[in-house]
Amino acid sequence: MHQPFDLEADQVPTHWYNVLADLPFELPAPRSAPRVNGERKTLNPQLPLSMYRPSIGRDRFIEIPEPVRAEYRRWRPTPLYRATRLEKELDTPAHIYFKYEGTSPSGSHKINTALAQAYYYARSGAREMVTGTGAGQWGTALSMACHPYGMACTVFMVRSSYRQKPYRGTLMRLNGARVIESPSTETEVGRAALHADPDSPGSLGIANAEAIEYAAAREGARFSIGSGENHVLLHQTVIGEEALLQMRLAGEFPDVVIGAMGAGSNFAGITFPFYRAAREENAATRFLAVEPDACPKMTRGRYLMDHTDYSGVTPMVKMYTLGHTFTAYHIHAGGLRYHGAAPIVSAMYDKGLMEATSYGQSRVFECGAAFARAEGLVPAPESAHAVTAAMDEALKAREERAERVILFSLSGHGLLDLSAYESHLAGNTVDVVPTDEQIQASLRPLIDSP
Amino acid sequence: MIGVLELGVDRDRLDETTSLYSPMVGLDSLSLLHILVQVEKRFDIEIDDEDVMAAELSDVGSLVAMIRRVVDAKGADE
Ligand SMILES: Cc1ncc(COP(=O)(O)O)c(C=O)c1O
Repeated sequence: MHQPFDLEADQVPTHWYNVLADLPFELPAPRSAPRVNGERKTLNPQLPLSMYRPSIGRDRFIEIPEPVRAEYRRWRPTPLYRATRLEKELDTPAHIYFKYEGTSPSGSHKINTALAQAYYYARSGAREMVTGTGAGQWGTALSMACHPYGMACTVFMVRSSYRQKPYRGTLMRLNGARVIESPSTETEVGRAALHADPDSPGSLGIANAEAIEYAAAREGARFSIGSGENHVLLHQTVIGEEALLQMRLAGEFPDVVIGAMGAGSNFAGITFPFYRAAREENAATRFLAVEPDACPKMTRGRYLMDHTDYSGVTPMVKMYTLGHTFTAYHIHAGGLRYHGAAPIVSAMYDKGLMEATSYGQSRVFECGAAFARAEGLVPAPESAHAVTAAMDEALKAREERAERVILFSLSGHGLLDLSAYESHLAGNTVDVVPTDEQIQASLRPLIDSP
Repeated sequence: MIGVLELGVDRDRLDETTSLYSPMVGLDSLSLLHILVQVEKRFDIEIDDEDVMAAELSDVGSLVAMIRRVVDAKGADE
């Protein structure tokens, strides 16, 4: 069974870590959005200034507002375990550690930023939060975070996930959110997507574009995003800060840190603090992002200026991308279907500071199931990507007879994803890989326009 | 003030009623944030979220007025 390394209640981090302070280069500047609505009267900043300010600065540590830290204390510090039974079953000399974010109220790491964002938005006068969600983890987290601040919450949920996981919708509605299947008929973007393909499985890009349009038309409503922006990555560093202390308790330092890659907030959350520590200690730690074969933005995408949403109304940022119109097959790990990688993670990857790999979902579920049997915790399909890479690293260590230290983030539990495991057990999981032509098709407009 | 906004436009062509959306100013909701952070640095002030909301930013005049209010408030504190 797994061996725990517990922190005291008062060891919940007091600060988020801003990796920009330790990057030996500048991030490429975003490019303004095309002007779609010159008539609108007031110009609302997209984010509360107090939340945005630290996310572009170079201050290394950002104090966590006490009300947010108080919320964190409800379930943080989250546990870090050593997977000793899995090690034995793999017959590996490697030490496998994992940080478990599935103990949070929403069941994943997403609530770390949802609570912070709700705090800042409520303070800046918002009365409703609107968002898009893929697998439903982000929507669940935001619906739980809005409630304490008396804000309403509206969630556009990607259709394929909505149908695959009806209980996600239930959980969000239970928390007072309005949940809308996307593409929907409520927005122009949604209607256009349905017109183009009535059977569209939807995508996170479309869901977010719907949310943006919907929020823009409603007084007091603000669009919020749970993954790739600098401030989201910042909030998620509580994961790695705790894990750093816990690895010290274990008396080890990881040779490789692994995280599943949607747009990158969980990956950044677990890796950034170790990036800092490895620099300080001259450790040659590797950082490995794991994406699905079906949405290979880092391993097969290009580093280009692209929009973060499907309809292209958002400013462009430089990132590894498959093109904002890329729609991944509906794999079970809906949270990893996003077309781009966070600008900070992309820049670090471009400079060779991060690595990336990808897997097909049948292998991912095999490894997820093996992990569940060995350690008694069912990984979310997204997190199972990290499990798979960790197991491969452990097997490589066995071949090389190396006593390697592996740390991965188990970013969420899979108890609301059992239908996906059911289809794995029934042998119905299929692997889907986009062709080069498909990727080229969605990238071409970006390459052609300078 | 135009200098602070780093707009790179001719002062004479800009007046208080120029919309922040106009091609000349060309702000969007993200670049507005960027500008506000630059302004904070330049004047060594911190603009509250409430100030931004209350200002109902629409044209150059409303932006300048908000910044002036915050700068004056800071001056009064010292
Ligand atoms: C459990 C879990 N892990 C990882 C991810 C990937 O997202 P991100 O890259 O923002 O961490 C998601 C997204 O929904 C998720 O639900």
